[in-house]
Amino acid sequence: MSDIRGYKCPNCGAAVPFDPNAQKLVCGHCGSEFDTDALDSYNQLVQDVKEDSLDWGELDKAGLNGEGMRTLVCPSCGGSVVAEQTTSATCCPYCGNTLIVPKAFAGMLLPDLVIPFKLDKEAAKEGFKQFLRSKKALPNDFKPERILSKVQGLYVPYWLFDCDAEASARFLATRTHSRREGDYQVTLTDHFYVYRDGEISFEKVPVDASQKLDNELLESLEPFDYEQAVSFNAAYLSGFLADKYDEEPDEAVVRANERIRNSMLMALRSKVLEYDTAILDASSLRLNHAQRSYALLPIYIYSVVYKGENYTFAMNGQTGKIVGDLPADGQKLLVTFVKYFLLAFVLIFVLSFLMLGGWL
Amino acid sequence: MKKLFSIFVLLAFLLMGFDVAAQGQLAVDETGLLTSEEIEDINRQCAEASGRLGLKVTVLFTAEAFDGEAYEAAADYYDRVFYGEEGVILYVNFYTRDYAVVSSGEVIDRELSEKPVAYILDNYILNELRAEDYCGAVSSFIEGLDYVFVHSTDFVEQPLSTAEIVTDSALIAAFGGLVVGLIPTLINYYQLKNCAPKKEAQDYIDPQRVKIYRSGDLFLYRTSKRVRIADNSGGSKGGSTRFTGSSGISHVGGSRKF
Repeated sequence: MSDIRGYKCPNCGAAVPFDPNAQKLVCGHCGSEFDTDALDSYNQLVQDVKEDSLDWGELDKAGLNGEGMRTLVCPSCGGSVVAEQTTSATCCPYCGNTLIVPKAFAGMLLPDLVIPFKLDKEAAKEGFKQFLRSKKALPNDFKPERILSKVQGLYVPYWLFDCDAEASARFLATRTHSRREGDYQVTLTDHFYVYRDGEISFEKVPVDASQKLDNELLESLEPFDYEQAVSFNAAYLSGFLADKYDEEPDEAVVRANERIRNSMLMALRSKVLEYDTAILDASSLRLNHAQRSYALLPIYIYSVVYKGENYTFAMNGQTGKIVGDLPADGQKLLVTFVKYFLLAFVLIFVLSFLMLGGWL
Repeated sequence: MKKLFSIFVLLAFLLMGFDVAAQGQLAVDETGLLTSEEIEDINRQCAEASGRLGLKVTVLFTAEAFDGEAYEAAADYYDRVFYGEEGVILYVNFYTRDYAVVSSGEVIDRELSEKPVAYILDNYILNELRAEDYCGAVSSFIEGLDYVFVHSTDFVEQPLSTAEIVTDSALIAAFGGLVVGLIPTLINYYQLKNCAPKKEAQDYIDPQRVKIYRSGDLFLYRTSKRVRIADNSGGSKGGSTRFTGSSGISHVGGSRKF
């Protein structure tokens, strides 16, 4: 580190010489005055903020076992089923038997946890029906009964990230007050450099490990209750589909880092109180005791093509939360708008007419 | 006895104070700022205006402190000197830097109601007072009186025609209908699109293990900004108002700063 020290104005960045008359450091460019101790402390705080240290250790690169498709043979009826390489469990289309691929869960591919489905298929169908029926702007020919017969329960692969996160945040904050002096309104603004350093433990931040499924859709289904998670057993997969991961942990960790960073900054910002403004100036994040685990989480999912567009909606197989992107009937929306517009127009017109005419 | 009686009457008149001397004088200067020629000129202007307009036109220059609003102080003075007479007063107070116009009598429902008085306050008198041209300020005041008397119908609010009422009502109803119509439409639309990515990981924080181990607030510097306040205070929220003076007589008046 250099022994040479310089003083720069926090307001405009210009050099700040010592003014013997004021006995303070005074910026020649903007005129701001600073105590020497305050500017020394400010320089120290700025230098204290280090680079990010987002070390998750060695994230295993398990890799995929080959590309493309493969053929599974049903042990019940002998039927052949073609499935993707990443499929871990599927359903025989001939006899309905569940086909589980044991090698899909061997070695590094063995999930650490699974959250079993809490809602059965009937409950899922009923939930979806209610969800679709309550949507007033859904097209009439987007009928739930016809669609929901094909709802599938799927165990989605997730990476779960645990860590103790330490963060430092520096804020430029202001406090303003004004008063009247004769014919003038005087506004005084005090500028502060606010620092907050803290630590938060994160448990099992989920990032989906499947490239086939939309991240936005799956994140909308959160949160999952990990207290109901159990050690993996292939028996839980019976009756459901399952995939193994096709997104490596070092790709997924980028999303986890972003969410952890945002949570840390939110927590530190919430401790900056009684200021009129507080803008983030610098921050750093360090991860300790970082771990990742591999889990299968339960989701009911359905995709439908309607008028050439693909629409997907999903249900959290543990909590029952439903999210989705559904088509909107433009005509129904227009009818809704016109109905409320006319009603309001008539009422407001009558009221205005009576008031402007002096009858009310 | 006769001598004693005469002395008594003279003393009584003297004890009634300045107001007795002011009786009959339309313009009074209590400050001594104006010369006698200026006072005479102002009195002449007021007398001419009084004859022309058919009411008392009076002026008071003072530097006396008062409680309440300047127009209330003006009304109190007018009632003390010209009680019950129809007229108008221009009141200028050099101590508080207020000037007020207050009308009295039946004219408060005609040529000198709220709008005309506010018009005179806002468009006359001020520039001359700021320029310390006090005779000019009185001339400007009388000019303002002449204007509102000639254009008295301009200040009377005409009722809206039926066509105007219908048009205005339709515009208001259309805007209100648009807002009311959009709300349920947008609600119905966004019910269909409820996917939202998570920007943070609040659901996965162990609340027992959240701690802030270092915090501080370092004062750096202060900046200040001075802005001149617009000079339009006075009167009742900037206009003029109808009020009852301490004598119980109704007036219309307003005041401004100079």
